[in-house]
Order: sequence, then C-alpha cells, then structure tokens
Amino acid sequence: MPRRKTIPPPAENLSDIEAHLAVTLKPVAPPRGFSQRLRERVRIPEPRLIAERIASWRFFFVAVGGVMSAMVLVITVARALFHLVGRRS
Amino acid sequence: MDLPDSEYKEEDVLARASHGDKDAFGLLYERYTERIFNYVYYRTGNVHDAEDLTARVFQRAMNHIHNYTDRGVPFSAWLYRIAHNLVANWHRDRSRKQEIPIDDLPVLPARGDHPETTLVRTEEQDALLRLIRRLPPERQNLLILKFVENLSNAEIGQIMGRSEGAVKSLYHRTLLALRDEIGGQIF
Repeated sequence: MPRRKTIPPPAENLSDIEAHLAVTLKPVAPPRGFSQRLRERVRIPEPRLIAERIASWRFFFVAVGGVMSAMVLVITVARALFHLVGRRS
Repeated sequence: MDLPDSEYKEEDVLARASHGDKDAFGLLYERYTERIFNYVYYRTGNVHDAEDLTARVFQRAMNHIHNYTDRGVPFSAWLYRIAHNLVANWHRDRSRKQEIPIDDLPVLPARGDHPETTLVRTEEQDALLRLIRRLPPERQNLLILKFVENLSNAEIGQIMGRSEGAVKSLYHRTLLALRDEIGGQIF
C-alpha cells in the first residue's frame, strides 16, 4: 500500500496569523465605574467593608483567645495554690 | 479586595461563598470580574452589553454557587460556562434584531493603559475581528481564552470540556480556517 504523503501547512503563514491575533485580541480595561456599578447591581459588599469585617473577625478571635488563655492561666495558678495550701494545712 | 496569593485560598473562599457568605463571594468577584468582562466583550463586541452580561454572570453565579462542586473543574471554568451560555442566549435574541457592525463600537484601552488612552484599531484589526466573530462559537471561545486570557491548552480544555489534544487540534484547524478566509486580503 503506497504511503500517503501529507503536506505540512505553511507554518510561516500560521505564525503570521498568530502574531496578528496577539495584537488584535488584547485584554481590555473595563470602562470607568464598571466595578462599582456591577457591585451595586449584584449587591456585593464594598472591598473596604469586607476588609474591615475580616479585620474585626481577626481581632475578635485574638481577643477571645487572649481572654481564654488568661482564664486558663488564672485557674491553673489558683488550683496549684489551693493544693499547696491544702497540703500544708 | 485583592488579597495577596498567600492569603487567598480559593477552596476556603468557595466553601464560605457556597454557604451564603457574600463577603467571600466578593473576593471571587474581585478576582474574576475583569476576566469575564473581557471574554464577554470580545464575544459580543459591545461594551454596554458586555457590562450587562457580566453582571448577569455574577448574579447567576451567586444564586447557584451552592450547586458548584469542585470535581476537578476550576471555579473559573464554571464561570466561563455561565458566561458562554448567557452570550449564546444573547446572540440568539439578537439574531432577530439588526446587528451593529463592530467597527462602529467604542474601543476600550488595553489593560494597564491609562483609561484616557484613545486607541485606534487599524483596518486590519477590524477585519480580523470581523472574521473571528464569523467563526463558530467554540472557535471564538478558544481564541479569546488563548489570546485575551492567556490560558494554556490544558486550562482551555477544562473550560471547554475537551482534552488538551483536542484543544490543540481545534486551534490548528481554526488558524487554518482563518488563513483560508483571509486569503491574503488583509495582510
């Protein structure tokens, strides 16, 4: 069976087209105010508010964690003192 | 809000967003809104409709994000599919109405340029855009994802639901089709 010869496509033409596509299809910047208008329409909170809420969550966790640690420390010291005083008496 | 990559964990953000956390959805919105806008802009060739459709993409995503499950398909692919469906509906509705030629439409500055930058599209670019918009939708998608979004064949495959090899082959056939269409008339 004779082997079929395939003619490769002229690569130069294709790379020319690719170069033109790269120039034509460039990422564009949305119009001014686009993000704000969409936020209002989709009802997504402002980035500033999100940042504030995340920051307040972090503060909340740190504060609760700090208070809990302090309480555990106080209870441990109190128990230790109680045992020491109890043994002596 | 654009969190640095080290702080942004998409899995966590998606989990929170799917439980109705609007702040988490806001992070996803910040990350993908420009990409979706670009995709829709090049598929419609119309700034106003691109803005309207981009809003609808995110409205739909927010309403259905609880249905999104990560089965190896990234969230971006899910968003692009929503955008693709909405653009397809837009073209179907529009086919009954008069079409505005793309060269009558405003040209947006490239990303990173000053917003006041006035761009002039050359006749060659206009002609090429017209040819691209005459291609079948999946080929248009492929070119936009490759050149505008700068995605790899594997990433495009995830969005289009095809293998990497199939994308490569489709890309090659698309270039050949464009070359035949051009026939030396614009370059």
